[in-house]
Amino acid sequence: MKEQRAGRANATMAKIRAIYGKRLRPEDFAQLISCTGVGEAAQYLKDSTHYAKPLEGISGENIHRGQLESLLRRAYYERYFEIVSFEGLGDVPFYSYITRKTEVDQILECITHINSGVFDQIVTLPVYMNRHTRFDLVALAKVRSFDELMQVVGKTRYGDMLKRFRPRDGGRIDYPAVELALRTDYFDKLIHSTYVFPDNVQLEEFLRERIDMINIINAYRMKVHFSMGGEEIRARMIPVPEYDSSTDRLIQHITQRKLDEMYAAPDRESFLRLLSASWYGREMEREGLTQMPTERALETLQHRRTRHAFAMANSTPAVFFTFNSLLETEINNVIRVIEGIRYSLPVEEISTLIID
Amino acid sequence: MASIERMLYTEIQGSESVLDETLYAISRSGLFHMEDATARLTGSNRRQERLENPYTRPLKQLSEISAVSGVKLAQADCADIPDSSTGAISEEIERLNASTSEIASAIRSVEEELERLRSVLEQISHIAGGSADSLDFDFEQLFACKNIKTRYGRFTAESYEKLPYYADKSFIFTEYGKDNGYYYGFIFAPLSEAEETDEILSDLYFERIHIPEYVRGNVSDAVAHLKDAIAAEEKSLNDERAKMAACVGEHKGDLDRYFSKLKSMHDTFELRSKVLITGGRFKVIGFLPASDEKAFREIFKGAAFEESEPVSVSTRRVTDKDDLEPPVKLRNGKFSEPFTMFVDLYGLPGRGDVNPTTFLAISYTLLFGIMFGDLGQGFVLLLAGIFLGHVKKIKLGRIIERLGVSSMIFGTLYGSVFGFEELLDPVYESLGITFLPFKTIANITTVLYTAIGIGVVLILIAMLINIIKGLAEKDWGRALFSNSGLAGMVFFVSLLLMLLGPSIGIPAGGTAYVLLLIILPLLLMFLHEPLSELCRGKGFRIEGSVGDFIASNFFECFEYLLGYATNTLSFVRVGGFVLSHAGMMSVVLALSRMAGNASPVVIVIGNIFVMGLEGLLVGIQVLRLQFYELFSRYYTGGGKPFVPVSINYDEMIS
Repeated sequence: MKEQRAGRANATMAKIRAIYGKRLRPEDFAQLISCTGVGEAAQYLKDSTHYAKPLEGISGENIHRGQLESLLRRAYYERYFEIVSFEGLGDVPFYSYITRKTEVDQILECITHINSGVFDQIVTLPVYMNRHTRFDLVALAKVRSFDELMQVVGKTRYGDMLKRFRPRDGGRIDYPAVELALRTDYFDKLIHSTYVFPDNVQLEEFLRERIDMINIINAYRMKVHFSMGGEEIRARMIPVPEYDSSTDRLIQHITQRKLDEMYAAPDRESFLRLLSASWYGREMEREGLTQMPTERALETLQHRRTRHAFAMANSTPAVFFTFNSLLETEINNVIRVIEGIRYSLPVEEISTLIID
Repeated sequence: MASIERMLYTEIQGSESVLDETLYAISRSGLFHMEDATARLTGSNRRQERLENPYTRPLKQLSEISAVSGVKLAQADCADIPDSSTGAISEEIERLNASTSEIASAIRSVEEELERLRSVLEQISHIAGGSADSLDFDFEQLFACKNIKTRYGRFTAESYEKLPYYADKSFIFTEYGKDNGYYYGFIFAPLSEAEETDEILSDLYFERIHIPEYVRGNVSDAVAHLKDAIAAEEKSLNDERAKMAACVGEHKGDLDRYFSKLKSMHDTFELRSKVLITGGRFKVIGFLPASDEKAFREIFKGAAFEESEPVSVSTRRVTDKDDLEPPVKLRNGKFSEPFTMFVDLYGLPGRGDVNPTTFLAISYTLLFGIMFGDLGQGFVLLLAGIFLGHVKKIKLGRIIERLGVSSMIFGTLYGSVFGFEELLDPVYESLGITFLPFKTIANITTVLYTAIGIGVVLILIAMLINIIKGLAEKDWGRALFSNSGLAGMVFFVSLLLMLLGPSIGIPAGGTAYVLLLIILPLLLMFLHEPLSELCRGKGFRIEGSVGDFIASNFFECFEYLLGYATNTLSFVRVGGFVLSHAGMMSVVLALSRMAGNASPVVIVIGNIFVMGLEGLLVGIQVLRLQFYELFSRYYTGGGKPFVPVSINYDEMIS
C-alpha cells in the first residue's frame, strides 16, 4: 500500500516539476561563462539562480573553487532530501538509491586511495551523508589498508561482497573487479526496488537503457585507450539484469549479441561502424551528435535521453530518478564552467564543456 | 458608450535631413503607434543598419551624477535648446562630471570603509553572540601569544562535520556562533604545528576573518569601538553626499533641461531602427486613431522644417483585404473603464470582435453584488476601494469601489448587514414591506432558480452580441449557423421552454415545435461549415470524406449540447455563493453567541475573514463565469495594444 502511494505521489511529482522549472537555462550558462573569476561566478549563482539557498552565506570575493564545488555538490543531496521528505518517501527502499550510490562511490574512492597510497579522501568526502550511510564515512576516510576497510564496512552487505577481493601479499586491490561487483549489485538492487511500484515499466526501461549507455561508453574507452579484446571488455561490463522476456513488456534498444559484436570489434573504426548501425547510433544521428567527439556525443545522448524520459515520465519514481540525473548533470556543467573560468580557458572552449 | 477606436493606417514621408525632427514631433504628440517599416515594406526581417546612439554616453554620465548626488532629474522645458547644441551639452556634462569626480571618489572610499567596518562588526558579533561572558579577554593579548597561533574565521557546515577526522591533530576549534550554515570561531594551534594546521584549514576551506589592528580590548570594547568608527564614517558619508548634492544642486535647473533634451534625442534616435530610409528619403508607417487625425496633422504644420522640407502624411482606413493588424485602443465610459484590466487579462479585441468592457463591467458588478450582498461588508469594500483606487492609485481599487456599491444594494435587498439578517427588518416594516423575496436563507429555491435565470439571460445577451457582430461583419456563418448564432439561440431558448415552460405556465412542445425549433437549428449547426462556405459564395463544400465530416460534426454538436447545459448550470454557483455567504455569517454569529463577552471581537474577526475569503472567491468565480461562459460565445481576443511612441523621461540610461 505504502509502495503504491510512493509510486503515485502526485504532490512530489508536481514539486519536482516545479523545481525543474527553475533549472539553469542557456542564458544562465552564457552569463556564467562571461564571469571573469570564480567569485563573480559564485555571486551570479547566488543572486540569480536556484542555487541561492545553498550559497546563501558565501562571500563572493573569497570563495575557493573547491569550496564552491563542494557547496554545489551538497546542494544536490539537500535537494534530494527535500524531495524525499516532502511526502515521507524516505522509508521506501527505492528512494534511498542515492545513499546506496554514495556508499558504492565512497568505497571505490577509498580503494583508489589505498592503491595509490595518497590519503586525502576527506577533502571530497560527502560527510553530510554520514547520517544515512550504513557505515561511518569519516572512519572510511581514515582507512589505510584492505583490513581497515573491512573493519569499517565488514558488518554491512558490502563486507560479504568485498572479502573475495582481499589482495595477496600486500598487493593492490583489483579495482575494476570490485567496481564491477559493486555497480552490478547496485543496479540489480535498484531495478528490483522498482518492482514494488504498480507502474514501473517506464523506469525499468530507462534504467536498462542507462546501463546500456554506461557499458557502451566504457567499452569505447577500453577499446580506444587500452585496445582491449572482446572477452576482456565483456567481462568488465555491467550485466543487464535478467527479466522475463516472454511477457514482452519492455523495449530493449540493443541485443546482447550486438553489444558483444561491438566489444569484439578489432579497432575504433569498426566499433564506431557497429555503433552507428545500432539504435543508439541512429539516435546520435537524429540528435545531430555525429560531429562531436564520440565520448562527448555518447554523454550528450545519455543526457538528452534522460531529459526525454523526464518529460514523458508519469510515475513518481521515474520523475524522481530522471530529475536527479538531470540535476547532477547541471551541477557537473556548472562545475566544469567554474573550472574553465579558474584556469582562464577561452569562452568558446568553456562552452564546449557543457553537456546539453 | 464602449467602442473600439477606429485606426487609420498612416504613412509619413519626407527628406532624410528632417527625419530626427519628424520623429521627435511624432514622439511628442503621443498619438502614433509605430510599426517596423523595413520589415513591412521590404518583407525583410533585417532592420535598418543600427547606428550607435550618440546620446547614450552623456545620458549615462548624467545618470551617474544623479545616482551619486541623490539629485533626481526630471522633465523640464528644453524647447530653447537647439538640436545643434547637443555637442556643447555633452561637453558641459563632461566638465561637471570631472568637477564632481573628486567628491564621488571620496564617497566611494567612505562607502568601502563603511562596508568593511560593518563586515568586521558582524564577525565580531558572532563572538559576542556566542558566550561573550566567557570571552573576557583582550584581542591584543590573544594575538600577541608567542607559543600559540590564533586564527579567527568560519567553516562551512560540511567542513565542520569533518573536524572529528582531525581529532588526533593538535589544534582546537572553539565555536562561538552559527549563521547561514557557517560555524564561526577561533582556531588555536601550538606554534610548532602552525604550518600543518594552516594546510588542514586550507583543505577544509576555512575562511579566515582578519580582525583589524585597531580592534583592541575585550569583545564588548571592540564592538563599542567599531560602532563608534561606523558612526564617524556614516557622518563623513553624509557630509560628502551633502557636498555633492550642493554641487550638483547648483546646476539642477540646467541639468534637468540637458536631461530632457538628451533623453528626447536619445529616444527619438532609437526609433530610427523602424524607419525605412532609401535614396535620401524616409518612410515611417504606423497607426493613428481616426479621432486624432486632425490633431496629428497639426503637429507638422507648426514645425520649423515644414516650409523648407515638408513632410507628407497620408492616411487610409484599414480594410479586410489589407494584411494589416491594427492595434487596439478601447474607448470606455467612466463606469466601465477600470474593468479594462480584465479585458487586458483575457486579451484585447481581435479582428471582428466587439469591445466587451461595458457588458463585462455591468454583468460583473451585478453578479458580484448578488453573490456578495451585504450592506455593511459592501460599505467596507467601498471604503477599501476608494483608498486603493484614489490614494494608492491601484486600478483594482476602482473596481472594488464599484463592487462595494453593488454589494450594498443587494445587501439592502437581502436585508443583510455584517451578517445580521434581521437588522433591517424594522426599517422595512416601517415602510410597510413585510416580505423580502430574496431573503436568502428563507428562499433557497427562489435564489437558485433566479441564479439560473440570470445565467440564461446573460448567455442570451452574449449570443445576441455575437449575432449582431456577425451580421455587421457579414459573417453569415457566425451570425446564423454557429452554436452562439441564431440557430444556437433558437435551439437554446426552445429547449429551455420545452423543459421549463409547463412549470411557468408556457406550454411548449409538439412535433412541429420539435422539428422546427429543435431539430432544424441542430441540423443547421451540424452543417455550420458547408453552409458558411455556401454563404460566402463558394458552394456547399465538405472538406475531407463524408464519413470524417459526419463523425467530427457529430461530436462537435454533442459538445455544443453539453456546453449549453454546463454553461447554464454553471450559474448555479451564483446562488450557491449567496447561500454560502449567509451560511458563513450565520456560523460567525453562532460563534459570537458562544464567545460571551468576546462576542464583538468574534464578529469583527469573522467579518474580516468572510470578506477576505469570500470576496476573493466570488471575485474569481465571477471572472470565471465571464471568461468561460460568456466570452466564449462572442469574443476571441488576441488583439495587440495601441502603444503610441513617446519619450520616457522616467527611464534613466544606466
